[in-house]
Amino acid sequence: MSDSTIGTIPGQEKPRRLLSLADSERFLGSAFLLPAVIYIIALVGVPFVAAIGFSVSDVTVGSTAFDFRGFQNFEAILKTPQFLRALSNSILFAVVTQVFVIIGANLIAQVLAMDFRGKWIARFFIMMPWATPVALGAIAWLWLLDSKFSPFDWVLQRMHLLGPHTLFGPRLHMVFLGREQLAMASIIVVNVWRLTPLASVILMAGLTSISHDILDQANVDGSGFWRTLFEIKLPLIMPIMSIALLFGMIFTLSDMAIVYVLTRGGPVYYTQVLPVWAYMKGIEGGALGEGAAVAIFLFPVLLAVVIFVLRASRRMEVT
Amino acid sequence: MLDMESDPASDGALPAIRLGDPMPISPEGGGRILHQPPLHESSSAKVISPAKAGVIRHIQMEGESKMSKHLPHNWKGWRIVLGFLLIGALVLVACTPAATEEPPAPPPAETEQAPPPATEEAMTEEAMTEEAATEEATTAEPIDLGEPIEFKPAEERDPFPDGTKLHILQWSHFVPRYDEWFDAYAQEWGDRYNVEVTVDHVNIAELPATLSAAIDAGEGPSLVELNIGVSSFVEGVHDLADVNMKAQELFGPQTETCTSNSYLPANDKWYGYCHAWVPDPGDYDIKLWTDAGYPNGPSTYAELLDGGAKIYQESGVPMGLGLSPEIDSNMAMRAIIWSFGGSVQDANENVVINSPEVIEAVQYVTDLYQQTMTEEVFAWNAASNNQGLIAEELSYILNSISAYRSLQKIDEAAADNIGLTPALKGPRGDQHASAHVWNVYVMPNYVEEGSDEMSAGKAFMLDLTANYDQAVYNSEIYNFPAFKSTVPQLYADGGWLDVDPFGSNPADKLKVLLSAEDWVTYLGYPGPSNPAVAEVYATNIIPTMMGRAALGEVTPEEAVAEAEAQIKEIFAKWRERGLVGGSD
Amino acid sequence: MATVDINNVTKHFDDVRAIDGVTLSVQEGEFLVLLGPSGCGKTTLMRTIAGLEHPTSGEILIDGRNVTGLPPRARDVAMVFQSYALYPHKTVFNNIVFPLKAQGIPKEEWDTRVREAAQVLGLEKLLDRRPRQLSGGERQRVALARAMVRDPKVMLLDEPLSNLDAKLRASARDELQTFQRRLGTTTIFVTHDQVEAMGMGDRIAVMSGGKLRQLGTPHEVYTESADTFVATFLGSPGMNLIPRNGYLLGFRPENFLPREAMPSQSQIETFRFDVKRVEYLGADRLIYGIVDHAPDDVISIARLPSAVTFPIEVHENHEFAVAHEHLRYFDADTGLRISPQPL
Repeated sequence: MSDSTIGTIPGQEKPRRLLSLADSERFLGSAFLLPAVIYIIALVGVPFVAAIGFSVSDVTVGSTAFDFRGFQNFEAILKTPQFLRALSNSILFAVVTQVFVIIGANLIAQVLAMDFRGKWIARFFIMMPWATPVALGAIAWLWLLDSKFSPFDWVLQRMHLLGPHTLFGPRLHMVFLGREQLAMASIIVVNVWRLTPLASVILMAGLTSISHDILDQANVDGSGFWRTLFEIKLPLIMPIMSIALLFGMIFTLSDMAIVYVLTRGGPVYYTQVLPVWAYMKGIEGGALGEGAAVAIFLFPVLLAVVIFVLRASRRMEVT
Repeated sequence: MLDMESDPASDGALPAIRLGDPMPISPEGGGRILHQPPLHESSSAKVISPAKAGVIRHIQMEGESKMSKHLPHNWKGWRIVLGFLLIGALVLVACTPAATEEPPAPPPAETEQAPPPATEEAMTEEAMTEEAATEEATTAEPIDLGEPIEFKPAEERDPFPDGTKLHILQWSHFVPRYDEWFDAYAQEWGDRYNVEVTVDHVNIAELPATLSAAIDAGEGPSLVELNIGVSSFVEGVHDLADVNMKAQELFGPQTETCTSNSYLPANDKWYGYCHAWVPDPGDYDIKLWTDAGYPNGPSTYAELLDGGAKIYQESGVPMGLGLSPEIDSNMAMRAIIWSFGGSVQDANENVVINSPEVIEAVQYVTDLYQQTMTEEVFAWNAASNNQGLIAEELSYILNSISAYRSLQKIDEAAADNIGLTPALKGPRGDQHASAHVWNVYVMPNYVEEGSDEMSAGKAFMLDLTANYDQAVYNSEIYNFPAFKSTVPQLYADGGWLDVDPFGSNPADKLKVLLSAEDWVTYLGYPGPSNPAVAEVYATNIIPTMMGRAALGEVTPEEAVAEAEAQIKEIFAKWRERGLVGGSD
Repeated sequence: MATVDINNVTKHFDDVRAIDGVTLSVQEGEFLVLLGPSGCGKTTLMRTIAGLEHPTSGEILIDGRNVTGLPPRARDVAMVFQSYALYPHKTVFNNIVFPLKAQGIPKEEWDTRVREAAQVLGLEKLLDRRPRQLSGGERQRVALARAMVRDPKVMLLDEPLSNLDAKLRASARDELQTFQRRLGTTTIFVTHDQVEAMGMGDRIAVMSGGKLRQLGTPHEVYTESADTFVATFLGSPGMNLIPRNGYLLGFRPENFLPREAMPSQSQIETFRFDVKRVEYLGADRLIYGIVDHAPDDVISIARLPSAVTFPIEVHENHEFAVAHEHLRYFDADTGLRISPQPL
């Protein structure tokens, strides 16, 4: 701060000018931030504003000439059962997925944070679902859940759980993606599979950042595994866990690959989610305006969730 | 068929999970050379060399793009990512140049090429020999049924000025051989007319998003090939009335299914140029249907239900008409509606779905599902029915001949057991099935009016049609010509449909397609394929209607009413924009 | 209150012998200091007692019970870490009550016991605060309260004063010792600070290289250092060692005085001392130099109390002396103390 005042010494202004600019934190700060600001405006701000614009206009894929339509697009999408199902599915998938992700990620993070031989290999493999392109992973699952050729069917048949006179029988195939409840569960499972690694690593980072002294102290104080987990570790990683939760929610809500590849919303439209419905309506169906309305529908809700979680995690922050 | 297709899961890994069924499916299984030399002695065509035949060795599921051979998964990722980007940031592209365009077109040329009269005396030397092909099929001369290789210009024209460029974006054809041929053809055409031609192939499902982005950006490819729902783009593309008129002048009448996918009556605009369509016959398992008492397969929907139910009860092999949100299900369900005498809209673009005929069709699908199919039809993607047929686990499917062609390359005996049927007849004798896809070129508005680029694009389309026998042959009889006259070899007595040059047993297995022009329809039938129809298609309203009734969640009447409400909304919206006619 | 017996404990981390055969008995109610430079194994030994590390060999007995394989919570020991390791998300009250909950102490007792402990350490007003709202001294007291609240058999303190500033440290030392005497809990206190060790310990265990060098009262280890390590580690500065006749002759700087300042009646050994440097430290004066006949690199130091005003100049060659009773003899090879040798 004091550096910036150097340039104001009377009689020295001119020769000092450049120097003072280079020394001015205020100037340098702005200069270095500028690229990031431009980047965000160009790649996030402009499309976002455009999406809002589209959602209140009658644009189509063939013409983006802007005619204001008010909230007619929103009214129209609200009338379709597909949209209402997509909305509730999106929220349901996001929430249920996160419940399992947080439980699974905590377990995995506990293991990964331990010291054992081959730890890095284990970490590597656990990261695989996350490192895999989401569409690629979804395609693998598409095969695993195939209506005729699913290996799960094969295993269940061998275990005499599927087929005539068995628990899941008499059917020969589970048809995971063709039955409403199973298809929804499948989408959730694949989401959990995909998002658990990221959450695990975030939580692991949180766990490893807990001072060893604290854990030793708890140990000496007589605390067992569960008490240490629930009274010490979890509260301490709560801020970072809430960030992982937020990421996971947003990833689930904005992901279209899993549903698009696995079910395209089927059976019927019972696994439809907002991004896929927006794509079908807006791009494939040509009604860009309504597609945009579908896509940004959850934005206000998401914004509120984001603000809430970020504030909460700030409050929870310790030391 | 469209997408989703076969990944390794459906190829090599497939047998591993079949319960002890010794079906030898493996990519190598197709290594045999299945091509037979053209049968006619007089043929001057090249015999396909083993090396060339090797190209088709892979199991080529329809929809498996060329790219997918090298990147068995990524191609799909591409599309998804692209789609996702378009959703998440709907107009990111509005402010960034599209990835694939070329520099702006050169300054407008002096005038459009004045097309000289297409008369015989103007023919170039090479074209002379093939002159007859462009004539009416009534020519008395014998037709050469070998592989057509010689270029025939549609009309006499001078080379374009230096620097003329033409950028074509189209889908990776389901038959890889077609792309190889097309790329070479386009290059040769460019050399001949001094045009720098670039051809890009992408996955078929990426095209709408890519074109939408290019239109937004105001630059991109000169010609984009679309397959379905093309009229959504009507406001973003040039009127191609002149090309269409010229083509009809040169080649005679265009097949109606193609016209309906390139002309929008509401604003009297030729938004596209359709050069091909793909028939969608039924494929049935001969042995199973023979056992059920239908050695020639079903010919009516009543027989389909009767035979399908018998087969399902006796052998456990279900029927394969999908009820999923995907293209084949959409087409199959529409075929049933039309054949029962119903339709989504009438010829004047009024919504007429809520009719006794449609309700009857929904009731039929409900019966069909309950008596012949399993829940798997709700889980299907576009590749599933192909896979099921190839695995001999479906008794009947509705698809292009690609499923059959795939099987030919894997297991000849199994392919021999597949029969083809024309569209099935409904209770009152109506017989309709949609084409599987249409190949429609559009020229986006950003291509400058009067430019060399525009002239070259139009000339290219006309010449492609003039040489459509090459296209049909190299698509392995998958593409059917928009102008029948351009491929006399196809329909001629003893022609390609009578004697399959790609080795069917019996050789005339494809013969049922001779009548395809009589029963083929299009999205929107009996009205035009307008943007409202395209949105109804893209949002899967028809499979949804059928599916809900088939699951017993609503009555057929309720299902139709639900669909009607949504369809009317969609029609009203597009009508407001002036792109759909009718009043209700 | 309990005894702690450490029998021939070793602890290896891979190739490093952090503890190398230590045997040590802590008596009931004793305040034992583990003293040594960093890396000497004292903290590892303490962690081994707490059960946070398991010895490679040897055994540990608390109150006669072998606890070698037991986890910390079964040992009934309390520990205060150098960082205090307060639970940052818990209030002072909840920090202190935590061991009670963890040990399954009945709920009714919690409040009374926490308040007792808080009162002993003057924390009554801070019970609702969180650790980050406390000063260093307050944190230390919370850590102590948490350690004492469950009345452990043994208290282990790992350099609890090192995070305090110098002034606070002196008073904390006093408080801590008073506190320990009052509770009478057997306490093991780890430090590298000999002043703390000398001032607080009933006995001091000096460690180096994973070995126990000497165990004794502060006076014993200082005046009767068992080897050259202890002799030079203790004292400030440490003992002077001069090679002579195949052994090492040792004497502490404060006993190394100018000839003139020696009481005349005592038996003394005189040295010519070549003065190189003089440091004034207020209360003391340190004279650095080389003793006659000693190698050039063996610097000896004399520490003269300010009461000795005799002037000593740099470069002066002065006669210094040490009373015979203050001379110590060490084996040149092993460094161990040996009996008086002929001078």
